[in-house]
Amino acid sequence: MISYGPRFLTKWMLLIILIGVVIRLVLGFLLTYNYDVYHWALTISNFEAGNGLYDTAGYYYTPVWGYFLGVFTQFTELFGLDSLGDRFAELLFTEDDVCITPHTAFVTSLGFNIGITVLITIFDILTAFMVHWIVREVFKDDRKAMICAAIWMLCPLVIVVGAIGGMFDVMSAFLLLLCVALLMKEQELLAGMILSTAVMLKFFPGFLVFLLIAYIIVKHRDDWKPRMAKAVLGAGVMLAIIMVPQVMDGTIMDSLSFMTARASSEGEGISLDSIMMMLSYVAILVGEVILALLYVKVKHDDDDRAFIGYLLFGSLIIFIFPSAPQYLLMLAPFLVIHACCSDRRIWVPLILLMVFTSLFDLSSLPMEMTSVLMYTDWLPMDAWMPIYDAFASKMFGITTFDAIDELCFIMQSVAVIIAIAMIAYRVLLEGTEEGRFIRERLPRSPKGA
Amino acid sequence: MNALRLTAPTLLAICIIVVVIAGEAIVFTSSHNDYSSDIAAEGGSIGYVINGKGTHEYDAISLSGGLDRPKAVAVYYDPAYASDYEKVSVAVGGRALDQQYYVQQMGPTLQLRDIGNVVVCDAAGLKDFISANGKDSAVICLSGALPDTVYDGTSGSPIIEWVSAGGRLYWAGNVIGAEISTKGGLVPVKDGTSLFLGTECVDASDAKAYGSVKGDGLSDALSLLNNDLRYGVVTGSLPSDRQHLELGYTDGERSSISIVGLGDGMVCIVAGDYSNFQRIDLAQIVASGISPSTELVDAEHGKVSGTVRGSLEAGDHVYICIGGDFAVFGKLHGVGSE
Repeated sequence: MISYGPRFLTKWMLLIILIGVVIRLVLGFLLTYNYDVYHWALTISNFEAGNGLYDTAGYYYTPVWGYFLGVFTQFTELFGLDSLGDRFAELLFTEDDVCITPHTAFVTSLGFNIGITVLITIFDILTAFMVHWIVREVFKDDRKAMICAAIWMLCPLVIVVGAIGGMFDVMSAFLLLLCVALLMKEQELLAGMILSTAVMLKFFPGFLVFLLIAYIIVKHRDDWKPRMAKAVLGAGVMLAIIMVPQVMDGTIMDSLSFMTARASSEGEGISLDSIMMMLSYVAILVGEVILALLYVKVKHDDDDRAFIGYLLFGSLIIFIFPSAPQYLLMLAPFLVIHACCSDRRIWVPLILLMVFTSLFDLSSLPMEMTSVLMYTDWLPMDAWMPIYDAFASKMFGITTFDAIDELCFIMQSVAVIIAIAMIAYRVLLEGTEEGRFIRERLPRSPKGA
Repeated sequence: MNALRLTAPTLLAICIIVVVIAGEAIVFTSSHNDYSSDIAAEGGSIGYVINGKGTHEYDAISLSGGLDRPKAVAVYYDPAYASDYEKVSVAVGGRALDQQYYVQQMGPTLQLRDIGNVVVCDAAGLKDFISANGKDSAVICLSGALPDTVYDGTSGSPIIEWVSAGGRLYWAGNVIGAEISTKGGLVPVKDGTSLFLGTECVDASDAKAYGSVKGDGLSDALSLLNNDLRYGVVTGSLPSDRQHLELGYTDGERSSISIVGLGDGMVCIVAGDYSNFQRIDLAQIVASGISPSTELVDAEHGKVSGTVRGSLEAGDHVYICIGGDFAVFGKLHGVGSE
């Protein structure tokens, strides 16, 4: 990294990083979606009280983000942050407005909000670095590497998810890119360890495991088995390290609730929504296996460049079913790289996804102002209430809060489908190796039929 | 095959692995024992000392008319018996908050408040518990109906006699006394609430409160969170001879927490359907030893980083709580017994 640093940290890149950091810090200070960030504070208080991550409710993800919060507390202690937040009676009424994006009268402190923003911003920068590294490694183009990293740093969706939403999805993107980079550098053991970390952060990168296996096979057709063994060993060791506490204290099922209970408002795994979600997971897995087989079977001029395209397609099909906008950050780096380096037409879904989908954060705008509202004198309650009322008012039976969310869901789904359609069109009809391979195997209509 | 080479990705990967393991160690070595508090009489006042890991808010609360920390706490849970409570929504990805999970969480929620002697009792076990433990013990019931082993719908029920003799009954999730739980189902009890509260004064309608109970500042000092009023006591309807205390949030008629005297004991109703806020409030009330006659004598709010000392006007108990609305520690000290 020391030798690579100067290539990444040019004066232009430093300027872009500086602009990106300032935007994030300002937004993170002024606006915070407290519902999620409150849960990070609750998670911290739970484990600081000696109750680990899952003994008492509050943390609903696999363990890795909780571990990062563990390290985070060492810095909040260093800076003497005493108050994580408070529950304000003045905001209790907001909890009665049941919205797609829930509200809470718990307001996290400005210091805590900034701390979370800084933590996620560090990963935004690291992801920009990984995007730069992969473009340089695969496409051998410094200029495009710089452009891709700059787009990442200034991408609206990346900024709002981390700085306002306080969500850690950028870490999924970073860990996935790191895993890919490690495979490219033939460090399978570490790649396996990082993949386990990524899956135990949020499970979406796990869907791409088949493609990652395929990459090892394609790049090392003669000795892929021992390399695979190393990757599996690394993944297993890291999984064990991450899950040991949950196995020991009997909370392993709680630690996996993110995967089993996401579709049910009552948290029960066996609802119709949950069944549909599980079925969609199966469909995605089948798609990923087919994609991996295709990557192994088809000969490519450049396996690495092709692999980036496959990772994009593999990520897109994970999100073909509408999901929370922040999840899209996992596929965003591949979309950026593909648009800059392979197919300019991908700019259309890229802009739809990365710019317009970011408007989802507007759906909770009044609630995002509550930290400033309650902890400073800058925004009087009298000035805030009309904003809240405007968002809570209904038009055609739906509040502005929900209307913005619904609009963003639609936009996001359209963008994912457009991206998939564009890539499928290119693959099948524009003379790619994959297109030829598929066409040769499609059943042909008899002549004259 | 390549040995480990220090490239940018390998260096980053090693850093990430180290951070994850360090974070894991921090999370799982954090303990209730990282915090402590003590008090000592200083003339007419009470000196306190609080030790805490990291930096936190704290509240030191001097109380009069409080109770000692319960010597034994039973949480009733018997899946073989009928229960009656509403299903509630939880955060996306969260585990369903049913009775089993609620009961399971009561232990650690009380433990951080220095109540370690918690047992989970089934219907038969509850009968044994109240036979073996009298005054200075507590029963928490979340099932929405007391089992027929301790409650038969009359004033001679073992649980009512036990409370009258000085027991503390903490109740949440339904109308108290309205049903008897049996293995075969629920049996309604006419005017059952009166057996515990002296009159039919529980309102089961949905409502939320938007303001704290005004008065002595005790609710703020205890960082109470739950504002659900369902199944709350309409304290204005209580018989005039029943001593009672309201805490938490109120709509002017019901409060989120009502503590009502019954003989030498007390019944505490924590209003609302199941919620994490309700669980935290319930644990806070059990641990702080609040009784119907409790009054706030003095309170201090401050910041602890390492060790902090202070003094309070003397009462009979001091409750120390660290973490504010994100509680990490609580401990009740009896002034005469320290």
